[in-house]
Amino acid sequence: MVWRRAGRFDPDKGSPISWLCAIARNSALNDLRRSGRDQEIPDDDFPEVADTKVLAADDWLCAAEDSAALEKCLEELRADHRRSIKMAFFEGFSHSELAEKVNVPLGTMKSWIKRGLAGLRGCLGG
Amino acid sequence: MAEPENIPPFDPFILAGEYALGVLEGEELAVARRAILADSDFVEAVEWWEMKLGVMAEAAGDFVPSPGVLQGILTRIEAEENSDSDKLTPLVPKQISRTSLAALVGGAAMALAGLVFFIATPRTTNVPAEPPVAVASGEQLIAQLADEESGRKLAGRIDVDNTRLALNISGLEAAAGETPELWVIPAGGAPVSLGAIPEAGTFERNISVDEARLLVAGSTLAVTFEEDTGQRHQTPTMPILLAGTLDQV
Repeated sequence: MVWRRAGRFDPDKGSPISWLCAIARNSALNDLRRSGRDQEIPDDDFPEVADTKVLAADDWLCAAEDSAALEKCLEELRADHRRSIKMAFFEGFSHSELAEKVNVPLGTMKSWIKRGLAGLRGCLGG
Repeated sequence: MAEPENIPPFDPFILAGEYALGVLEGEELAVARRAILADSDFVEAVEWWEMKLGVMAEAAGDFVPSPGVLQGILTRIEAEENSDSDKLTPLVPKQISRTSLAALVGGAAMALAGLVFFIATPRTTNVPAEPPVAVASGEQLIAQLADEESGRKLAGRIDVDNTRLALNISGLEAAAGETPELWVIPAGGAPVSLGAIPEAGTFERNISVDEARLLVAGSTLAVTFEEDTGQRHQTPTMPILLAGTLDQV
């Protein structure tokens, strides 16, 4: 199904795998929210995108330049901004869930996420 | 707990990023969902963020999706196949009109006011007195959409276990050659047509497996007027007449 539709991709939008990653994540989050969150991923299981672990080249499925760019940009963020964005991405936490998890005021968490995304925007698209 | 940090000024492009990341809730989520329906720049911004952030998913490793997730993936691919999303311009960050988002914020407030009005207003002959289907014991999703100014109202119920959609509709009289059309907007996704609906009265039908995957708590139902072609449309025609979130009960 995917291969049949691969020709429809506009290369300017990014790689087909990145598109699939977004679809798979949204589908998984939908399923998680529909079934209820009865299991949380231990913090230790967060994939280390940028902090310390360097993945082997063969492990990267998406366009290498996209991965390198995101890795570099994440590294430039403040640690609490970076970690909050990763927690949201990998566990599907909302603002209030993140604030509770990290034990900071909701306003602080919103600020971290917004400033983190602003940093990524400037780095990735500036 | 430390003192809260100041929240940066509103930026629609950052709102799009928060929507793509999935952290929004409450009124902020409602504003973003209305923007998805009404602002193509916002849709492009969400897609830009999804493509950029999606790279992170590589680091999660390889997983075999559950049957539910796999079906959701296939449904979304199918939905995108049937959309015009491939016609979007290249995804680069650009300024989203603050004016349009401000209007959306106002629209969300109006929708909320309309919902209060809908709940508080005594039923009239235009609004069916009873729910269109008996309440089953299983999981139910409801959405109540209303616009006080126009008097348009729609109450929807999804019987998840029995895969049934039931609607109470009033005030959706369309112009000649047009028909009301129902849409579902999954979280982080593009609108998908659920087909034409009556202008008033009750309406009930089965929902397909693909539709059931999209009709989940947190998804948005919306109504537009579309050309009465007898077929589902690919993208909604502005303006959005009604919009509201599906909530689990």
